[in-house]
Amino acid sequence: MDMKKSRKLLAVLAACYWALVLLIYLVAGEQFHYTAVKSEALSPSSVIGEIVDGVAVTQRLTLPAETTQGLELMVGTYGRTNQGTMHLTLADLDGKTIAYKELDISSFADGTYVPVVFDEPVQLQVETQFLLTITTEGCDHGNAVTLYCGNSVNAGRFDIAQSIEAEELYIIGNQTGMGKLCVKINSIRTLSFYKTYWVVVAVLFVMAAAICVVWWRRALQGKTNPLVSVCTLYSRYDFLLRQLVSREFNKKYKRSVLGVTWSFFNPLLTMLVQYIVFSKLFHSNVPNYPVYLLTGVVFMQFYTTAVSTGMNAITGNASLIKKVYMPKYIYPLSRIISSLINFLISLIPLLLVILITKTPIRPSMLLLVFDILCMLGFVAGMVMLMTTAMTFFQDTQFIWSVLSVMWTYLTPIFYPETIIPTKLLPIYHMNPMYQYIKFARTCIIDGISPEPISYLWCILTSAVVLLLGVLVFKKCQSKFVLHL
Amino acid sequence: MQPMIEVNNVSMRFRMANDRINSIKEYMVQLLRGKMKYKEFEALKNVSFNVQRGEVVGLIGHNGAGKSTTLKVISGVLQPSEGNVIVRGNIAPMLELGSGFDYDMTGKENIFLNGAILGYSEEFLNSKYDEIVAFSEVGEFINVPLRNYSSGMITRLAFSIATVIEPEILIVDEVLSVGDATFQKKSHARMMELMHGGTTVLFVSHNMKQIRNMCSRVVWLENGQVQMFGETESVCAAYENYKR
Repeated sequence: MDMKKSRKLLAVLAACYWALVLLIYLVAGEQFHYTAVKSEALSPSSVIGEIVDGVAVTQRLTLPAETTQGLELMVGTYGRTNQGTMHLTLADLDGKTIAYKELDISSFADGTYVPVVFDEPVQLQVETQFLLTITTEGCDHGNAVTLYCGNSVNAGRFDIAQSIEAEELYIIGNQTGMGKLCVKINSIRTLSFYKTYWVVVAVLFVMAAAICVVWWRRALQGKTNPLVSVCTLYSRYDFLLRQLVSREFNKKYKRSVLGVTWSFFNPLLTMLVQYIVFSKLFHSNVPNYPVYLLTGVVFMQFYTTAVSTGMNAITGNASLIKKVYMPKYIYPLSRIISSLINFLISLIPLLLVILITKTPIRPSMLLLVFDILCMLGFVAGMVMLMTTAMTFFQDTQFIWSVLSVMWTYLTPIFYPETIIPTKLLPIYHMNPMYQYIKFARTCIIDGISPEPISYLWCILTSAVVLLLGVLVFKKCQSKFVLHL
Repeated sequence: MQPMIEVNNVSMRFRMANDRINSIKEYMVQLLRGKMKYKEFEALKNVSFNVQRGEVVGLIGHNGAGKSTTLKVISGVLQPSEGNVIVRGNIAPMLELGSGFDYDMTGKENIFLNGAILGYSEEFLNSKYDEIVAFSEVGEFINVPLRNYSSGMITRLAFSIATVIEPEILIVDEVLSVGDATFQKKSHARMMELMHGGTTVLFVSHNMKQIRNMCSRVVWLENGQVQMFGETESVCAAYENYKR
């Protein structure tokens, strides 16, 4: 084994790990400490009538998270300007006041949500019920506001009726209403994850380091183990790998006039076509639609082309495999790497569109490194699986050509995530490509880090698929040559 | 001293399905009909021999006797069904010249690609590049895609790349002479140089004169079994008697 080269490899890996860990911690920051929880209101269907002096409106509500910063109320003004003050009182079920706020009625606009921010955030246990009481001062008939209520939830084009329990109905004066007030509760949930972040990260590192040390010592005694084989393979075949990658890459554009620039133009033109076709349909729903679209296009194109070129890695190199011995993983690996280079080039048009649409460049974009690494693991695993399947059954290429189209349409690339039916969301969440694309969009468009759960999902899907791919490939590789 | 190559009781079996099944539909149909019968074909049966350091060993036998399969098992392309092969040293696999060539790439690119496939390092190829080009006599064609080469030029280039190194173990499957008469002489001289230069050589040939000239020991394979393994003269004589 080439000790110097292996030591360099390990040092580089360790450095990359810590750089990524630090990057995530610095950029993710607040998103690791808190996550905003907003309870959605029912869709407004009617008003509850004028709230004049002496009439109290009460509504029982449930807190979605432990820290509540405020509420939003949907108000109606009957199309006029009203004078007076609105008093909001939050009390627990025993009648103890928790928070109080006064609002100037003259500032209300008809049919809008009025934000109510408490002077101090309310700290209560999750799922605590409390009473919201609303009274007015200086209001009489003809100079009063009202509130909206509803009894259904909006689901795309339809409203679905909700059954509301008796104590959850609003009360005006001494009459019980027919629905629930349209109130949104803005809360934040404190995440305990950041406390364990460094512990988790350090434990993982120590474990990896310990394994490496044990392997290293065993390697010095001349025993073989995974570390030795990986290092030997790396030091022995890195030149070959580079040769194969450059062949793969050069061959793709060998006889074309524009050459590598196609890696650049291809996603840009695809996006342009889809933009022209779909912008009318979805433009209003999606903020920053061009970037939204191109992110999806670039990521999905990487996945589909990497798998469709990668799965021919064994069958396409049949003449070599039958004649010369070298580790079989080299063939899919070289194709994955050349696809990755193509993908990195296609990020340039994405950057261009980000600049053109004046999307602010924020540090959160650095988190894409993490996202891309996870996606790379997933893609590599899929390539390994598909190339194994392809060697034994040539049908795989036809199945994949259908599957890749299906996959592309089932991933929100050109349509907004909001049109996905709520019932199907769990299924969508299981699609790893959806996770990676959503992660990228949060980083680029929203300019914030995704929630910790997204990180977990990305790592998990990537690791599972990669491991599965490697194991299946390893188990079957000695039989490949018999099927060529 | 331990032998460079040890072949221990190697058997190689291939499954011959009625028709090679390579689609899921066919597989299911065959499975349901209960016709997943395989005929086993034993290409090698319990083959054992060894090659000492610096020795030149020849493999002889009729077509289909298992010579190429033996070379493939030794070079690692095939995994033996039973038994094992121990190789102590670097193998330069010359099973078929130019098997790693890419016809869309230039001669120069192919030298590096093929060199990498044969396991050469980058520094080595850089230092030997001029030597390879000179030996192959392709001249200014070196920067032209391989698809425009004549077949002679391709074999010459392949031979030059494969023999530029002095490997510890050389495995040759009837590639001793390529190209026209002049190049044949040159390539033959180069092979002789390698074989006398301390390299361990295992090679297949039907040319008994060559075998007698070069080999110290000979393995005679017949129907996948070692018929005879020993000194060149005695094995060759027996083989020629058997042929008659």
